Amino acid sequence: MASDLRALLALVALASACGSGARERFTPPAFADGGLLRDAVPASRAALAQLSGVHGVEGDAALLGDDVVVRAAGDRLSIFARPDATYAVLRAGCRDGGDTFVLEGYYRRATTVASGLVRLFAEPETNARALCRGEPAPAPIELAGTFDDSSVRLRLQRGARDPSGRFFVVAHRGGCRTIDDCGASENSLEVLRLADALGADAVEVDVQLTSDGVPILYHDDQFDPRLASGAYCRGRVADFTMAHVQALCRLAGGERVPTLDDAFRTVVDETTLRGVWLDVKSVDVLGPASELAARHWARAKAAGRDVTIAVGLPTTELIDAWRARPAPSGPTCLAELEASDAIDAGCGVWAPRWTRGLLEDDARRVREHGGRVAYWTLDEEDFIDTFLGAHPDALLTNRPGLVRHRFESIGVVP
Amino acid sequence: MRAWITTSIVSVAMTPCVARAEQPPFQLEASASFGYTRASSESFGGDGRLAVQNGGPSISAHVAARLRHPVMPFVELGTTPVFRSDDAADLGPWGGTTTAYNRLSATWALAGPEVPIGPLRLFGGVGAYRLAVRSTVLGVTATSTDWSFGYGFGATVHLLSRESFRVGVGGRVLLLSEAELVVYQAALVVGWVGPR
Repeated sequence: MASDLRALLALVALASACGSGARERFTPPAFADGGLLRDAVPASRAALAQLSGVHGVEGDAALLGDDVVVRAAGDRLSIFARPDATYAVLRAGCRDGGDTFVLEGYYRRATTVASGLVRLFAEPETNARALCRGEPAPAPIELAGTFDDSSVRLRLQRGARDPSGRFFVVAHRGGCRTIDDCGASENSLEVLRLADALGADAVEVDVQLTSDGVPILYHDDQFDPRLASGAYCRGRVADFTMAHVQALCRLAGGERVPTLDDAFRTVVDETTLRGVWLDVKSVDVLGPASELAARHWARAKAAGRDVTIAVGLPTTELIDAWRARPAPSGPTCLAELEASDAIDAGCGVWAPRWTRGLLEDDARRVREHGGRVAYWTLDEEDFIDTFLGAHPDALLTNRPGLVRHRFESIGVVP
Repeated sequence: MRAWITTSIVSVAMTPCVARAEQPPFQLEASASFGYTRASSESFGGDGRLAVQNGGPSISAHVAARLRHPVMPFVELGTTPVFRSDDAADLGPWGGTTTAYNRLSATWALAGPEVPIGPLRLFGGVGAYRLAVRSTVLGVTATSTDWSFGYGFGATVHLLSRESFRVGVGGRVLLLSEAELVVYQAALVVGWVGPR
């Protein structure tokens, strides 16, 4: 009897732990008092562009491996390394009257979720002065500093493999999944703003429809605490109006649930992203989402932005519904099932699931019809390398920084 | 733990065998609990609440089968309000600042083992919880439901026992794991004991 009682108490304790729901979310670490950038003049985008490319690494190889990819995205500079899919997001500034060019920010190991602070300086000083003036650096680019307490020195070896941007690293769920915890919830405006710094050229977002016909970014057809917060934010997305969603729901990190309209505005106006893949979750949402896609594609074009928008068609019902509609001007469709679906529906992209294999004959057929080939969703280095060997036009991933690094190492420009 | 789980499974599985071996094979104990609940949830913060009711009157029905060995299988059904509040809501471009009138209730089904220790009954099991939301914003009412897996644990003390009638008090802790919600219940328990 006593053992039964002990067992029951142990189960209560275990279940309490399971049911507590406590969840600590990642907040990017920052230097105290704003670090050295507090008094610095923000660096120009032209200066950051000079630092982009593949850098050799001197220092602890376990930290960053033998080489890293450095990439400017807007006013940020990112570093992508192979070990633990590590990425760093930095900002740059000039101090000391333009004699010092400093980069500060944080790093995160995507597979272990360890994180820390990064501080690098452009060297030699002649380079720092030139970068601060927005002029070409006179000496080979070097960045020296620390990842936490570890010293590193990065030496620029070559520029980016694909400066014209023919290959697309597509970040899953707007940039990163909530479970991967990159500092913003999946399918939020905040993660869209972060996506290019995480290594993405384009984003895949999930689109659901509220009961009053507003397309919103949300993955599941149910609101629940896995992705959303709010005591009353429970039940089918299609049961709530947009006003209810705004009143009751926040994403797991506290962000508002965005409309697709707001998401397009953010991508076009606030990021360097070059593509959006709409994962349309039902036939009902296809029409409203396609109309918004066409409107924002035209708006981006008018603003001089070349943004590829692909409306995902993951089911035969959606393919049939797409074919029954007049094709929107600008956006294309992305067929996920058979290559013949992509060809017959006139889709610009065929995107088979990676577990089906390379399907090289089908890929060739799609390309012969003018289509592009993307595979989803690849996160493991070995598989990323295998699929890069098939020379795809795009890879969808939860590790955009790792795919960026692997593409720079072994990729072929499509 | 393993022994306890094994005993519980065996107790349920052996019921038909016991039934064949001796007559009657088990004694049914049924009870109804009339109580009051309180709930806690990380997502039910204090900001913007204009009026709050946490928990409320609850009712549940509980049936256990007394066997020859000390662990009794039980099933339970119950329902309770969880939260009800008038909340200041910022709808942004979808209506500005307004008041949302919200309520959340839960209905549950629990099953598992129960251990009688004199007048005390300890029970714990796994549960399926159906959460119902009703919310009115800008005059429009939305209703929806969601399911959550979870657990439930409780104790009942019989203060008065007669041949086939018992009265006692009890308490429950309902853990709605997927919904990240915990409901506590204190209740008056009225029970009936079947013929042996």
